[in-house]
Amino acid sequence: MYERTQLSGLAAELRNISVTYGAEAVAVHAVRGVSLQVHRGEVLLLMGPSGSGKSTLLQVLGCIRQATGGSIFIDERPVHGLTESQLSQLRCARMGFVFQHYNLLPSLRAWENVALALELRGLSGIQVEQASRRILSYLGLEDRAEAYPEELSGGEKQRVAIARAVVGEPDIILADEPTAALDAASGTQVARLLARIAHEEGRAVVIVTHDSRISGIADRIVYLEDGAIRSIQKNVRLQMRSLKESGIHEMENHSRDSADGVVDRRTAVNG
Amino acid sequence: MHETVPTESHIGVWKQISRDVEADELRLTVAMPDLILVDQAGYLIERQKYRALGVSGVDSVQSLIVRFTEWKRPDGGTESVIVVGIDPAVRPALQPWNFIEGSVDNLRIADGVVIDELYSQKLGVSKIGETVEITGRRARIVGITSQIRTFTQSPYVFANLKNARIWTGLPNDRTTYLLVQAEQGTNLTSLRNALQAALPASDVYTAREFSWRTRIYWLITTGVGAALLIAAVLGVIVGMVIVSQTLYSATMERLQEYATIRAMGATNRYLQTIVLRQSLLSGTLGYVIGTTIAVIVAWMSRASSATLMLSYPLIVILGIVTLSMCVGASLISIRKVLRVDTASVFR
Repeated sequence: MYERTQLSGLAAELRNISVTYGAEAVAVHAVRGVSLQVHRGEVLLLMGPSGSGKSTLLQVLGCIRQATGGSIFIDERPVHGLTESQLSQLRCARMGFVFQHYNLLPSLRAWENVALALELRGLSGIQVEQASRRILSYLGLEDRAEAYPEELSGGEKQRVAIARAVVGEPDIILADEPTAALDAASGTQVARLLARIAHEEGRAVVIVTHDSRISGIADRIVYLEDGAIRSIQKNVRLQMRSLKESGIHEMENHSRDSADGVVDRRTAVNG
Repeated sequence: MHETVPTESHIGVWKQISRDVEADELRLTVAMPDLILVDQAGYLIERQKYRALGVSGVDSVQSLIVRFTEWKRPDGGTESVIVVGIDPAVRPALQPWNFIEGSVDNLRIADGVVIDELYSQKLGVSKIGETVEITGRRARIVGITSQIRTFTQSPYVFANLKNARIWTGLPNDRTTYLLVQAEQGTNLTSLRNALQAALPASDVYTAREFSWRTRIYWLITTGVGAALLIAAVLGVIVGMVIVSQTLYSATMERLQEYATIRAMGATNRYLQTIVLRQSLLSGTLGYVIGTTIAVIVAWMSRASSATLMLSYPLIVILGIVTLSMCVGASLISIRKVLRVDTASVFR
């Protein structure tokens, strides 16, 4: 699994999705005509103010909430018309979920929480335990495998949750505010982990977040407002990297210029 | 766990009240028509025994007197007792059993009675040789048995036929029952029919029929059985409500966990299995604890006047009832889990 090469292609597609709660006079339009493609190997951030429809869109993408209009395609197959049982199987086989409050089962050890995702797929036995421990080790939690959730820090809990989400090798990871309950250092660690899963393993990672600190891991950022897409920022990661590199370059020039006794104030301020 | 004791009491009583009348498969009982209870029979003319002896297949016939009477303790108090008059010379016959002191032969002694140790305190006597009064006449303890229980509050007191007639006021030519011992290999139903034809003024019962008649009287006619049955049913209902409530509370506490598992792709079947497994686990635990307590109580009650009888089939049946009850009690929780809002995990 970890040697898996980067994949490309469409993992999911939303076409003109609408979600309305209530009816007529009391109707609330949570999502209005959103069309979006999610590619394998990319990190897509859904951002926007509270009530902008981010979480609802994530639920629709995760086949947890039915859209009132539009079509959803997972792996280029329409989701429309699938039964509740088929949707469960689809989620189990194709998706992994990471929640804001981790949602680990308190009565299970870390590795057992991870193993649960495999058991839902009908797997059992020693291989399940080995696979669960392996993924925890991959995420730097090999010495925490026996711990119960209450014995783990917030960052560790979220990494266990990520392990649970990815152990079944899903195409899409859906994360709802994964860093909101974490301190800055843990949040950065979790964000980098999700980016690594997308970029090294070729999975589509969709993150709903208010946390602008993690925007550096995104390939695209979709800004939502009043249930509709306000803007899409592309190549964010590359731009950030480019900015960072140019910053380093400028600093190097600055060092050289300083040595020469010349200071470019404009460059120093902008850098 | 909750229904174990009342149900077992019910079955135990069922067995206890017919223990002595069911003992001999080859025995038939002749009694007055419309007999309703072993302890409350009408009178038979004793010479009918000779007519019974003339029926083919009859080995022997024994008179049996069963009558309530009054026992006066040495301290002056009185107790109601059931005098059981037998002929100690007739073997095999209905006789007191489990002797811990004395023997059935001691009943040949003119004023001898045999009591059970379970009731020695109630009767105010504790050893052979002590004397009391039965309906104003002297009686002497000549034997003590173990665990011959009565279903009523009146202990059985064994005596010979002569003494039994004196103490109960029964005329010499009267008896309450005739116990007919069939020859080996005799068809009991045919013999019963032949006896019934020979003794048209009486009723004839096989041991099993007599046993059932007694059971039916106590458990249905008197309302004792109904009361115990209601207690058992209430036990099951209360047990179901408690298990259901406990399971429901546990499910509600973990609803978010169920929502998480469902979001991860758990099928309805998987979720049902989790709840059922919890329910059966709780049921098994409760059953083991309840049955252990019941077995201990039954063991402790073996030396008391009200024993609790616990058979292996009964234990198995109660296990099935308990686990079925748990499955039934889990239905509400399963319904709740299957209706959990999966989207709630994103709040």
